[in-house]
Amino acid sequence: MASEKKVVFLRSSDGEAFEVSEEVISAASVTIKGMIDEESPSRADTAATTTLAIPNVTAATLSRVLHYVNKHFDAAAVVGRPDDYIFCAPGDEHPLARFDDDFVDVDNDTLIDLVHAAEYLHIKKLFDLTCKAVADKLKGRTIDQIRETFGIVNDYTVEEEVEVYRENSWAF
Amino acid sequence: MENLDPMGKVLAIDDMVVEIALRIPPSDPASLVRAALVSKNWQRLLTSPDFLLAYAERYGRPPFLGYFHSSPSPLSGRQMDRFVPAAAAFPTFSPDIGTDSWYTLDVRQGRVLLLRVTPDLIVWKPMSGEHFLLPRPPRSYQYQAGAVMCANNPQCRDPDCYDVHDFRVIFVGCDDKLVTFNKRKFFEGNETWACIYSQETDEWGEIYVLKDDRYTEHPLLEHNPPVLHRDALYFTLEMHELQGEEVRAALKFDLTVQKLSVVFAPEGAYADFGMFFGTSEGFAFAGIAEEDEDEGTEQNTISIWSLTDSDPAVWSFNRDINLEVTLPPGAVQPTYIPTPVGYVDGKATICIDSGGRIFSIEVGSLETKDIGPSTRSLSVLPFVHFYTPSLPKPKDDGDSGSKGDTDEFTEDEGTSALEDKKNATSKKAEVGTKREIHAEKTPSGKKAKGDQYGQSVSFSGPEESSSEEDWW
Repeated sequence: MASEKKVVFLRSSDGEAFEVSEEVISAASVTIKGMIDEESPSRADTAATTTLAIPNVTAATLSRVLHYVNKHFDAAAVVGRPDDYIFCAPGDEHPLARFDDDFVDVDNDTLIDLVHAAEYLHIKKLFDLTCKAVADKLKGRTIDQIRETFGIVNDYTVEEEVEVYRENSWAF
Repeated sequence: MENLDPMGKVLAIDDMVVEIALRIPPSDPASLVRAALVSKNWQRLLTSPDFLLAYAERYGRPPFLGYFHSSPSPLSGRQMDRFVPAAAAFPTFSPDIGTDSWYTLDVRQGRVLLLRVTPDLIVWKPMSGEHFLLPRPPRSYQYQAGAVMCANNPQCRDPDCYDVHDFRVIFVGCDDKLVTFNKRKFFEGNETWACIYSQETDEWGEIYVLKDDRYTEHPLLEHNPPVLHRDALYFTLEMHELQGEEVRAALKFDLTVQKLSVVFAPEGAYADFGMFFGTSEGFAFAGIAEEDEDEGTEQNTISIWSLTDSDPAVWSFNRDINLEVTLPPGAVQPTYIPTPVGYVDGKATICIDSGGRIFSIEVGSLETKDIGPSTRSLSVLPFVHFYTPSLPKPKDDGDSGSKGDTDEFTEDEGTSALEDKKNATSKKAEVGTKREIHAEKTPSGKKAKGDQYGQSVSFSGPEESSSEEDWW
């Protein structure tokens, strides 16, 4: 029994397939759990493995997400809390906290892709982690830097901008 | 820089922007404001009432933004109130009322009751920059105090209370009692009275007079901020003589039965010193204990008394706080008696002016924080509120949106009698209408911020008055 743990394959938007334990990904991703549950009747007792299409996530991002999910699942299993498979708080001395810090220490594009993937796959803790990391990136940046970093077009007129700056000069 | 950037695409998704901004902590309001200024869309999202509610829900307790105080003006030497931000990168607030001469009477639920020396009572909402000029109180006064609060629930903790609920103002005045004898008028002592202004009706109500035969002279009202505890307000009375003895006391206004009465300070406390304050457990007094004997007065120890719930209520000594031990080394100065100057509403936290700095002390844990420079003034009024960007709305932003039920923000202590939560929501439209009426009467008003209701207000004060005033 124990030896034949079920796995599923996730196919990224660019066509790459990734193998992951069904138990792990079901615990992590609400979205994929839902997909698996839908598939269940048809795949009952068949040896065939399931492949799920994840059209919104690229291979590069998906592999990172799975790395994160596996790492957290294993860490939680060690302390016997599989339900609470991600449990460390930022700043903890726990190795997982350090893993998290390193995990989001990536360039902006990668980080935003991860936010997006976490949102789509409905992995709450990963979503929290990555959103917080983006928020941290905003800290101390000027408005122009934020625009540049995130590719936002300034749509204020000069007059509006002057007004807005005057009213909020304490924030600069 | 272009929209084609994949990041741009992703961060153009509204929900994502909101989720990220929600994770900018209350300790960093400047980053939140800068984020709001990135584009009109970001501004629309982060200035929306929904964002404030979500932000408040996420963080629970509103942060300390700074304090209002009285201190001599650098220009005229007059007493004026100013705002001291909690940190350099924190917002500062300054009312746009055409003069620098004003006092803060009360700060509560995102509203400030101030007295312009003209004299006029003005309710000011620092977050939105709105001002409401109140009609003159219905009776003359030489001394005054006042409180502003949510009209629905004095203990309202909705983060957007100031924006969506009506307010009322409780004003207490003390004036000469005039009697006629042989067709000539004489002053005979003072009379202390209270009156309630309702924003809904834009009128002052009935006058309630303090009836207490123990007084030949009615007491004077100090500049201390009022304490709201349970369903009553407490205003500090100046030390005065009562049957040959000097006493310190609070004037209590019971909000449920509209009755004025007097509560004396603990007997063991020096009469010319000390401050009443409220905690979630009870009503309390911070003062200096009178010495038993020889040692001389221990002026660097603040004593705390609590009022019991028994009937009649009595003061019980709670604890001493030795400031030389509790405050950082060197904070207590030999030439200045550390003075309680304020308290944080609902928390057992008092503010002590050491002469050099102002410290907040949690009277249970004795946790101490340096909150800003000394003002050596009578009082400081902490401003505790969530700060989310509140900017002039982008011109194309028509809707100000109606709020959902702001239900579960309350966490503790809701005093129930006046609680009326369900009625407390979504009065925005009415408030807007009301404001127009007031705005016409107000000789000032924040120009840019009033525009969403199409009401532009003439303004006679200095043009630059809201831009950075670096008093410190």
